Amino acid sequence: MRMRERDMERELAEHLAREAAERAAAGIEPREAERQAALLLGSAERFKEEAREQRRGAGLAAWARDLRYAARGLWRAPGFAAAAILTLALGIGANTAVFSAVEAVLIAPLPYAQPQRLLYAWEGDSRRAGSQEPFSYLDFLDLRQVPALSGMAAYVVNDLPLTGVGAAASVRAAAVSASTFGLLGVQPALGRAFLAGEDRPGSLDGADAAILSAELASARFGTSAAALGKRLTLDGRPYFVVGVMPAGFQFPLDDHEDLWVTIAPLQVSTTGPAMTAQRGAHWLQAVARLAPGASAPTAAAQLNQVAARMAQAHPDSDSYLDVNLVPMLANYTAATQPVLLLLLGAVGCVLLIACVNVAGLVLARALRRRHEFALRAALGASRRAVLRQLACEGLLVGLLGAMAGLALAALADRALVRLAPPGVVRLDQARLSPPVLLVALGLGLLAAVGFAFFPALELLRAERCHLAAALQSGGRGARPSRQGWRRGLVSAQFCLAAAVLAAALLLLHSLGRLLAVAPGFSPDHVLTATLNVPDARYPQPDDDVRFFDHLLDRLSAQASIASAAAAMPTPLGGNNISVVLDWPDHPLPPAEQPSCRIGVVTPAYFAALEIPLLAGRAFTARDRHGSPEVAIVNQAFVRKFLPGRAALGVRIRTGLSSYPHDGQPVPAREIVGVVGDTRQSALGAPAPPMIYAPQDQIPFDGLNLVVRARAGAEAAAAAAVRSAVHGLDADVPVFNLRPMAAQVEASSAPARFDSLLLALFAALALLLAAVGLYAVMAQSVAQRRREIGVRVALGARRGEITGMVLREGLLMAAAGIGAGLVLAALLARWIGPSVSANLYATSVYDPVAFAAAPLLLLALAALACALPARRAASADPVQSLRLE
Amino acid sequence: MTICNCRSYSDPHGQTQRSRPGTLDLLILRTLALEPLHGWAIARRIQQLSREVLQVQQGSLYPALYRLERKKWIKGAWRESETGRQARFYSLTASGRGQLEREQQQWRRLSEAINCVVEEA
Repeated sequence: MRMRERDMERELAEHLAREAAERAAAGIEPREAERQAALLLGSAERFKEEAREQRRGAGLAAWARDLRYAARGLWRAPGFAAAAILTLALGIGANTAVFSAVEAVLIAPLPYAQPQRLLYAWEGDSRRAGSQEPFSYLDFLDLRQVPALSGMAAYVVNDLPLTGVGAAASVRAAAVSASTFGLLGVQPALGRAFLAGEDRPGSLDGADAAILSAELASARFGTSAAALGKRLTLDGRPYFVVGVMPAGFQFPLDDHEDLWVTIAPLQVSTTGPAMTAQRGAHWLQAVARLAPGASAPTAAAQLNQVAARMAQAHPDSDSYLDVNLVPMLANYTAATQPVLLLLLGAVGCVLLIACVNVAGLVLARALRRRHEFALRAALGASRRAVLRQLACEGLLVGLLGAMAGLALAALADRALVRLAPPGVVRLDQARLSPPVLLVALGLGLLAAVGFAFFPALELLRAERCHLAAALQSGGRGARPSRQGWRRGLVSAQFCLAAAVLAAALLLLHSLGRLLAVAPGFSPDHVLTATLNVPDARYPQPDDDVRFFDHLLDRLSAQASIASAAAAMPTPLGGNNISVVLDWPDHPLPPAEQPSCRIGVVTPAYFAALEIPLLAGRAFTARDRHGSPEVAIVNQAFVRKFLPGRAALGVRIRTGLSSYPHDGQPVPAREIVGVVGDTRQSALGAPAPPMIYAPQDQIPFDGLNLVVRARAGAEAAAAAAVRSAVHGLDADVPVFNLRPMAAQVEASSAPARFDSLLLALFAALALLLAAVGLYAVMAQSVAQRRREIGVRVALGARRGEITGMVLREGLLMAAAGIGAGLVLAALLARWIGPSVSANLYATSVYDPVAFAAAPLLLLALAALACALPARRAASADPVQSLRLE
Repeated sequence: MTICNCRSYSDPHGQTQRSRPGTLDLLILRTLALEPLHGWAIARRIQQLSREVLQVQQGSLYPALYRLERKKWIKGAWRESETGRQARFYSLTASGRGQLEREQQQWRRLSEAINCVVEEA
């Protein structure tokens, strides 16, 4: 087929020469003769082709034919096709994958009725801007009936031991106010939602109501229908299954619930007042639904009016209380939105860079095919037909690229979901949904239109050029085009790549600093597990103490275990307990008392985690209920509350107690030791002031085991933990048994995920920009063979030629990089405030990132120019001159 | 008079004219029946034989040549031309000769018929 085309060219060129010769013989000036001949060959027939097209009915058949022709054309140029489609697929694939995540996390409506009317509510302290606290149950009851809200629901999620159906296990249980399902506008798939009275304990013949997830129902009872009406035991209390939710249902969305119960179990307590009876205990999250016609600001204003009345009625607990509302979706997306949008911007840049490269490929092909266009025009093809053929080829490349990109995106989505850090709500829903497919196809078409445009321009140029010249030169050394805008595009590529790279280096630098953080404890060889002792079977605080004392004794005797302790919470374990702090020797009014984190620990805790004891003593077995109440504090506590004073011997009072005090104030504790700081809630958050109290003096029924295994004996230690707990009480499930190192790692997971993705996109941007620069330089060197030959012939040294090419390429790159840094700085200024929450100890104008990005890019640009420069320098002048 | 092989075309005045299909094919086949010729010479020969009445547009000639070649009625081959340059010479194949016979008969019948009408009227 190619053979045939070359024949046609030669034949037509021959014909032209004869025509011209004949006209010249007839006395016409040679250039004019040539022009007339070319005119004869081309123009006269063009309108006939157009007429032919019109007759073929709306050109649909012509399009189909051109698509077939374009497919054949791509098939015949496999190198071009593969490079163009792959480049485009990378760009579209990355964009589609990130967009599918954005769609799932930020855009898709929440799976509840009229989700845009749902709000998330929290309490705040009007003295501290941005403070965010859960509701206390009594506050919630006071606040929930304002006219602008059609309802408010409160919830808290806990791990509870499930017994009575199969093996004991810990399940994720959401305790929700009875109105919750109605407020969300959801119904169980089987059975019914909670009834209004079911927030009271024992409303169903002494049992409480429970609604199961479809997953738990089928795991424990075989089918949803079989679960309905069954009894089960949670935390030692009896429940009655009144409903089963549809498969996949979740509320709240930032957790994975196995079942839902009402507030009822939290209304009972064997020791002291129940959680629901303490106005100062803030532990419930809340959602609300706007009444028809009401707006969120109105609702917030009404809530704060109620809050002001509450502050008067309960000055000790509710002074400075304010209530805030945000759309429910915004609450879930607040943390992830800036990073997702940053990633979307980065992949957008990658796609633009990729499109420039594809446009370059298409253009180079168009240049090679200029004579083919001329030939087709000579054979009577109209300009429109040739343009249509180009458009078809662009369309085909775009569609194939989009399809390959979709395949890549499907793979990337799976990887994304697997690698995703916990806490990115709904990221696991990322898939190629219809809107995502539309976006991918749209990107493909847009790209196609973009890069079909360049050869079209080139074609029009060719038309203005001398047709005969285009034919006679056989297309070989077609006149070099000025390439000015092509160079501009390469600079633009480097500009985008520089911005993406600067952002990626910023995140990487921040990640490096985060990973270098010393957490204040040693997680190596340490295992943690969560144990919940059923309240109903261990009603008294002493029962809890006895259980854990026995367990720790057994564990300490194991050869595989170096030390065993229990604590609540553990560093980076996801829980925090705050208490109100007071100084018995010079008391503060209740509203002025600061709050402080507290941990209850058994004596071996500091040794097990290798937290250094800096002053005083650690807890011992003698620090029991009834003996003097003691506390240990950390350095941050001393810095904040006792600066420049001796901490040992200072007396503090905390609002937390497990034992009833018959109306007496909680006894004061004496500080007996000072320990090192530990990162508690996140690796990137500074170590908070901490008070530690002995577990024997404030017993908890739910504790984390902290077991330091002997090196290499981690598996044996884990088995020992399971068997020791099972041996003591088979109904106490061992939950979350995992290495502590995994928790430390999990704490940096979001940062690693973000920087990994951004680094990946930056690498892609770099690679594509380098390829783009290489292509332009290679083409430029090839077109200037003659010029370079002349220079060498006139005595230019090889080094000078290399330098000339390098300088040209680097200038192009440097212009782009400079603009890119400006762009990055503008972006930092614009989105910096929202992104900086994701950075650790790193400014958005990080000098390291802003210095490293241009250096890296320049090095890359030099690398991309090196090969063309070498080729230019090694050109044989005689040969390059003869070629022309 | 301009010969083209298209089945219809818009003339500059926007009117669509029908011309008999195959006229150009017949002319080419007939020309090649005498001796192998290259494209330019075919156009020339038609022009000469028609005493400068028929002018073949190159934009029609080459597509027609390629079509006839595809139908295996003529065969192209590169040879040195009278000017010493390489040119593609077309010659009639055996099936081309058969086709020429058929087209000539058809043409004779048609022109006789037209003559009858035109002369009588």
